[in-house]
Amino acid sequence: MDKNENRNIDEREAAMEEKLRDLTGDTQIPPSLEPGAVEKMLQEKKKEKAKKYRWRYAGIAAAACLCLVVGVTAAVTQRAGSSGDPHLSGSAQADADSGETGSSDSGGMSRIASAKDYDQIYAYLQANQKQLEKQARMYSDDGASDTMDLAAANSASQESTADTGSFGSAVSPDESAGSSTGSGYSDTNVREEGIGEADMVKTDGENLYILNGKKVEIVSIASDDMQELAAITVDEDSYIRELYVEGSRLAVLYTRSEYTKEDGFEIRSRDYTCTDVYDITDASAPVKLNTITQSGFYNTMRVKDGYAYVLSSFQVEQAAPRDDIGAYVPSVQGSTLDADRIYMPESQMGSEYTVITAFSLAEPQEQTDSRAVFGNAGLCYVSGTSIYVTEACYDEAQADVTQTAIRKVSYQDGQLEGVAQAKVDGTLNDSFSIDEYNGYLRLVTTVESGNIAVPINGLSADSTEEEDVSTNSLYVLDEALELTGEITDLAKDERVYSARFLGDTGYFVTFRQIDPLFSVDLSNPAEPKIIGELKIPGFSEYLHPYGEGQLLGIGMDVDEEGVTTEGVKLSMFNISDPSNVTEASKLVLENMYGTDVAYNYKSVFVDVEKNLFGFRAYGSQSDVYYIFSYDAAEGFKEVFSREQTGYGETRGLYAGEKFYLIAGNTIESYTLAGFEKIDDIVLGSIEPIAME
Amino acid sequence: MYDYENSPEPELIRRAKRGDVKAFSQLYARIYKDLYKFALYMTRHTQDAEDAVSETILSAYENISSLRKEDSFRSWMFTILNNRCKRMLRTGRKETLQQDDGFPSGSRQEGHEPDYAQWHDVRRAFGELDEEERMIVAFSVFGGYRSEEIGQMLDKNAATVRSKKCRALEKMRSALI
Repeated sequence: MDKNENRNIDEREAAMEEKLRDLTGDTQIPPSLEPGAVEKMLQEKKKEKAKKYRWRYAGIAAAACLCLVVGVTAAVTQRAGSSGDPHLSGSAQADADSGETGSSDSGGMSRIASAKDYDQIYAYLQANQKQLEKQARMYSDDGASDTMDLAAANSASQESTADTGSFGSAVSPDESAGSSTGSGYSDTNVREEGIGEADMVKTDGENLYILNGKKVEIVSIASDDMQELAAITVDEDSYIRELYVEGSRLAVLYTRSEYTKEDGFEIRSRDYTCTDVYDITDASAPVKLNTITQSGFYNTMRVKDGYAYVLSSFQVEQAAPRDDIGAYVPSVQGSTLDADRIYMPESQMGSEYTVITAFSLAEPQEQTDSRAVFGNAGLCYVSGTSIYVTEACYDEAQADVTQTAIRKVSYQDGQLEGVAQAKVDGTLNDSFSIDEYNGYLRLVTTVESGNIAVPINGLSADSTEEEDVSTNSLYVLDEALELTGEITDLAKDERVYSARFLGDTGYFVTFRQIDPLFSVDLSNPAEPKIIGELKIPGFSEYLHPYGEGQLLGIGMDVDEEGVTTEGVKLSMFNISDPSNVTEASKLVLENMYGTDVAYNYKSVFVDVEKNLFGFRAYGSQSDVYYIFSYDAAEGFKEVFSREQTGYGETRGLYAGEKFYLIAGNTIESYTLAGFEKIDDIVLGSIEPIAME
Repeated sequence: MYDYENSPEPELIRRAKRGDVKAFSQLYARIYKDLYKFALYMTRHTQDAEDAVSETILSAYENISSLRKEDSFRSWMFTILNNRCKRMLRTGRKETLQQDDGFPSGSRQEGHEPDYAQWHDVRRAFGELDEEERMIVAFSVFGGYRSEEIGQMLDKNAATVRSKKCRALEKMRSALI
């Protein structure tokens, strides 16, 4: 085909597409889908949600209030009794015996309770179901009938979460001075230093392991010419989410859907999170050792001391019959979890579990332990010793603001144990807003009034006035999750945009028109103190420690009215004196309207020792992957940029003296010294190894 | 009063993630016509299309916190919607009954009678295509996706998508003449 012919075809196609757009131009949109109707429907839904929580707690309101008061009093007493002792909470933890079952209605606030039996779980589920039905009735009263079918919405949300990625996002590391491990290659930018995390690309210095659609590809980078060694796939109806590499093991994490057929129709699906563990001693011939399977779609995973901890979200099936235990109790490796391994929500209602399974990567023949946290799954944070499962909740009887419930499950060498639970006001921005240090859990939350204004007409212009009342709080909880210290009512009408706790100091950014970067002194857990507040235009969406006394902020520049963003902004904060933080340098990428940094910290490439950081930014014309270095005297310097086409994510990493840029099915290699192009390769030339 | 209409997408997403219904609705308002048309020509049935879009809205609103930055709101919505439509087609819901009469039977759309003749032509043209071809054309025409992007979603290479699209559009051209 010559060029002209190609162009003719392109033109014909474009014309045909244009014609189709034309012909369908005045397609009638059903009234229920008009934006005004949708807005009204969603406002109703939000209102109903608030009502739901109010109703949910009504019966136990008095008791709950009392517990709260007792809890606070206890904390205050304890604080008074041992002020200044940063390890005051040791005894409290021993107190929180998770082995005791069914104590949810009488235990103290901080005690975590496991289920008495499946009947109790079923009762909670029914309470939840009843509430949903009540909501559905109210919708249909409103004339909106089946579009509000909550069962359908629920299954839809289950599906979409699985399909669209990082559920509530993951969790944790900290004052990593960058991802450099001192070895000759870079690792994923993780939340908590020393705790491994899966991602779409990993390297062990010799090979790249890359998630490419429905395959994981292994590419040798031993020489200048990259070479595909092997490809691994999973069965139909499975979606690979992430992968992890350590030593001679490769773990492939995916969600598998199983369809149940009735009368020849696939009537429902159950989702399972599977981890295939491969021996990659010979990277060109990976050998599958085992598959660990647990209920629910994949959420996230961590690795510490050779043990993997896989977290999935299991949504119970609506209207599950009592005798179909598999529909409402999660299973691991084909067996339903025992009741005493399931931690029950304080609210006595639930519809979703966070299932946690631990196993040895070296010997993945079976799981070493598994637990489930019942309630409404939310953001999870994993410290060096504990898994924190959080969920947002609203209960007018207890507080007139949205709260965050936290449940703590400790882990070590593949064993799991429920420890404590607590509730604080406000909601978390992301996993950097919750952080454990020296046994204390620190949280920074945005507190919003639960008083949700509902306009009579969905388009009413003044409906937002009441909705935007927010403040921000900081809480310090001890090992038993008893409140130790707090600061409330910070930055009225603003919200937390990013946070980073570095040892005894916390930094967080709130935003409405300007960007206050707050510094908090946490050295006395009982008396956290705001010690600094730097105001500059714009806001940082991600904060990363960048060497001695420096904190890197990646975010957006905003005009003076705080309305339009004016490009991606890089800030280097001088934090050598936390009480007097300054913006030492900044750079605005004017044509860029966003980055993926804020939503997925794993997409950031940072190596402080090599003085390089990179990320993908979104431009109006095209996306660009940038790499910068920083010099105190000269500020930020762009050392590399590469236009990114297509869809999806980009990862940058280095191994040895080379830098690799991976996007979709393409890998490019560059010299690390000067970013000169060396090689590129398009994946897909190798057939996946046979499935068993 | 916050200026929703002129607000950039990342800021609206940020607000929507924190439960701001107006921000979500504004994001939706920018794409809803294309969403509905996509669903209509994928499912070839108005009620199914309406259901698919409704379910997509609720699902998206509930799960907006899981929207990753690398996915634009638009492509995220189309991904969810495509899955809803596929699920509907897979479960055989209604489609077989509606091959020849894809019009709403109920009174839902009173006062919103579609242009039957035109709908008939386009529907006939889409009827010439198999599910995958419909998906490729619908993503392309209503979603505004490039062949490379569609390829990544379907795990096919861009050239395959391009040739399938080319063939599909040729089929439609003959159906529309």
